[in-house]
Amino acid sequence: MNSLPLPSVTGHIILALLLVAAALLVYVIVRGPRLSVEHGGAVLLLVALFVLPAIVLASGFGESLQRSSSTEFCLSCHEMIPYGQSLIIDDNEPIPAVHFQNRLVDRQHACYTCHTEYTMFGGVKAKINGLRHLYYHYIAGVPDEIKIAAPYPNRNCLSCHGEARSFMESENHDTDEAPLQSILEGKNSCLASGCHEVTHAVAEFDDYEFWKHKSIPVPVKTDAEAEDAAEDDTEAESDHEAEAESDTEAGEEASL
Amino acid sequence: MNPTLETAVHAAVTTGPAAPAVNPHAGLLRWAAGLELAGLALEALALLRLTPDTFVLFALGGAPLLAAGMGLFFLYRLRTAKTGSAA
Repeated sequence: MNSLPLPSVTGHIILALLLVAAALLVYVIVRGPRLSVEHGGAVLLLVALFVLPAIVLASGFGESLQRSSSTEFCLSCHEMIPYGQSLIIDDNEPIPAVHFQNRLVDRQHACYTCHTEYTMFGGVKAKINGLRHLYYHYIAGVPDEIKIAAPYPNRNCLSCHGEARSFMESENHDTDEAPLQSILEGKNSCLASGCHEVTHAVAEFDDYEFWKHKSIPVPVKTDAEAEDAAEDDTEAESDHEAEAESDTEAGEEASL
Repeated sequence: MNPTLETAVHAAVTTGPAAPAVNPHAGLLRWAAGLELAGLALEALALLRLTPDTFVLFALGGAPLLAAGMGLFFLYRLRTAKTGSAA
């Protein structure tokens, strides 16, 4: 797993507070019970054992939560790398790629934007889902084919597109098979209905070219794929040589 | 000189003024500080190098340790208030 270094000024301030809190705690341990009877000891104990740790805990947790919502954090697990690479597929069909490349979502929070429910506890639910990912990573083992845990809800799409004129006035979004109201109510899935079914497409990487983006590495072909490609090249070359030889022979015969 | 006062002065000269009694529950303070230090160490790890592992360590280990330390401090205050000890 790659790690995210401390990036923000807020993070540095929290770290400084944390060091002060730690120093005070060491002082409490060293002075021990004597502090309880010293002048001003009660105030020092309150600050060292409650006020500062509470501030550092709350601010540190908020900072970590915010940083854990970044695309970089999601892609720090190697299992997620192909899903990150799917964001740079050079094609206008896969939904994540279109959104990432055209900045329809914030690139710094691309995964989180689409995979968080826009409800009161959507963020909490996303973090709990993250815990499940850790369970698979460390205990159950990562399945060969990673599938989304629950059907992707229309609500996530509609939180941005729902009121958009391009969405509301599109003829494709109000057909006999899929009336607009049924889409808005989530009865007709945007993805599963077959209209926008191409998502991360990690199994079809061979069919696509990739757009170069500084933060995401372009997929490298596996050894087997590279061998196949090399064999194809060799066959093509030998065919080409054979054709050239036959042309030469034909030319010699013609000259004779 | 009043014999009682004389005894008190003698005691003060020979042994010094009596030290205030140490709170009998003050041992809790060291436990609280120790737990909170451990919690802060895990939090520092998450702040310095955030990975899913360190984040979970902080969320499931560091934060409860800090909370436990604060809880012990309140227990200390509660017991002190009941027994009427210093601080």
